[in-house]
Amino acid sequence: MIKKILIANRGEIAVRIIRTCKLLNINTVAVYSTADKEAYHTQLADESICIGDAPSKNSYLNMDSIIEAAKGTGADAIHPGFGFLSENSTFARKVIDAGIIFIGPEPEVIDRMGDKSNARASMIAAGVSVVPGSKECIATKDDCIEMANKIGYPVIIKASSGGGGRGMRIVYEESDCVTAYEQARSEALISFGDDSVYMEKYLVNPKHIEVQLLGDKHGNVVHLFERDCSMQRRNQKTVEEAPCDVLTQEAKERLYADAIKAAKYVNYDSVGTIEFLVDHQQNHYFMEMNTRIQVEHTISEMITGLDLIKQQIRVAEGKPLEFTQDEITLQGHAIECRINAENVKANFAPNPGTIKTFHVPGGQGIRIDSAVYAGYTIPPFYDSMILKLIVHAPTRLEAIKRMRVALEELLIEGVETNIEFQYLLFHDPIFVSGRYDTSSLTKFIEEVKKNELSL
Amino acid sequence: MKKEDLKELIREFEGTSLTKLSIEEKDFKVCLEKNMGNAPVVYANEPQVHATPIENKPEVKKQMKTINAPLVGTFYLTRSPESKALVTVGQKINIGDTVGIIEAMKVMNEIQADKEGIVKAILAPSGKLVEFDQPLLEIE
Repeated sequence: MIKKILIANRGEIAVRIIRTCKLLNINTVAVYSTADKEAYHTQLADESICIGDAPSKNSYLNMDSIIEAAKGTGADAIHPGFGFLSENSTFARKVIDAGIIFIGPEPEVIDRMGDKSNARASMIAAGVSVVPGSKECIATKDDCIEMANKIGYPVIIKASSGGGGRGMRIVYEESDCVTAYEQARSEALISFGDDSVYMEKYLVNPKHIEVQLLGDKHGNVVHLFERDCSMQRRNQKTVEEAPCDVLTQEAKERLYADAIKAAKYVNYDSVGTIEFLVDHQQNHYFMEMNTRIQVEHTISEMITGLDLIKQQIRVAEGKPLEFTQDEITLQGHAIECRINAENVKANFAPNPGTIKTFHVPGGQGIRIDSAVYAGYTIPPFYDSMILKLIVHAPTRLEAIKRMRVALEELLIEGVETNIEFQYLLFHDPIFVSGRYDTSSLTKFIEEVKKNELSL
Repeated sequence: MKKEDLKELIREFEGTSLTKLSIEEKDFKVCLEKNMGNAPVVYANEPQVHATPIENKPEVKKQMKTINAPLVGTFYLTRSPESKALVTVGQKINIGDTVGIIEAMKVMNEIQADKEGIVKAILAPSGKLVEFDQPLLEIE
């Protein structure tokens, strides 16, 4: 039985973890940097320890400091949250060596799935669908055509020795194949001194669909359905929703099956997520695995009624899952908006400062995960996300309407935020249709700029 | 009654419709009562064990000159249990003098004074956890 947890994190996730610990009558220890003396998580926890000064490397990434704080306060477990040390197997090992439970998967699993080529190799061995491709170089024009036909168009020819768009050619049909191959090779030679090229299936503007997983130490793994996280700007998620209405049930079942297969193959025994790219024909391909709790775990909680942190603590204690897959039911639709302290007009530059007015929406189906408050000064050292606004409703359209009303009510003054930007997005026809992909948000931003809509 | 048994008893009591439960053993007596808000009220003469490792965190007034902990760990005033204290109240210290030890990750770190003066007070108890930047000594 875990009796005291040290939360090795800050901000809204630290608050969220502490809340569940309180429900479970587990004592909590918050750690904080000198810049976070006024942070909410330090007020909410039973004890708090200052572990270093403001820069993350001196505090939230300071393994020894955190472990000493755990030992000194008698914590029997550490929850790493997300980011920081959550997927650092060295930290996980140090925690375990200190006789403390690491609330997460085994360090070996973190290593295996954290390294992208290891992960891909594991998935191929597991029989999970990955982006088809070759790592061996394409020796001749004929090999090129053969491989492309085997993989299926469109394909992308890539230089082995470099990236950055150089030595890359997309091939849409067989007649373009040879020209593209020759061009790619000569460009690669000029750019990297090595003309070796390989080939992968080219996914045109895929959707980013991830499956939430939960495993225990007894070999049981369940999924909590999927999340559509395609609304991204520079690979940063902005809006997430669950489930993904655009996928057919058949496509979803294939997705869940592969996710469970992958997790079982690596003996996954905690909370985690497998991310897939899904093409326009609804074929899915393994992209990567996140061996931690994620920012957007909240929407999966809303549609299943489960508390993922509670489940994560339970399995860390060695308990078996208390429900089977059949007992997890999908209820309604949930959407999350990430609210950031950023200046949208200044190309989304982070905007720390002091919050003068803070007013949150309420009512049915509204969930706020945040650590800020009126009068709080956002420090400049950490990321700019200050609040997660989550809605839950019986249908997707109702959830969208609920979010619009919530965004109208949400008031944060004193710092620039993306609240109005999110509000515009929730009126965008492409977003509302659900048929958006990983290129959509960038296109939306361009459209907003072009129309010079005042934000 | 062991603490674990007491916790189990409280859990059981919470789940029943009983509003009051009183138990008396040889040298132990506990009375659980549910008030209007349905939260059990515990009267026990077993002292509540609540670990507060950072004891005596004193109010640091703005004018106080202090030497603070540069890392998290267990603070010691002596190099070993038998040796004498590295500093005492009234002692003059210079910059660079070893004024304490902080043990972290099985390493004994010597804490050097970054200011000089007379030790006015020892603020951190020996043998207890100190946090980053916690005042160890007051200097004047």
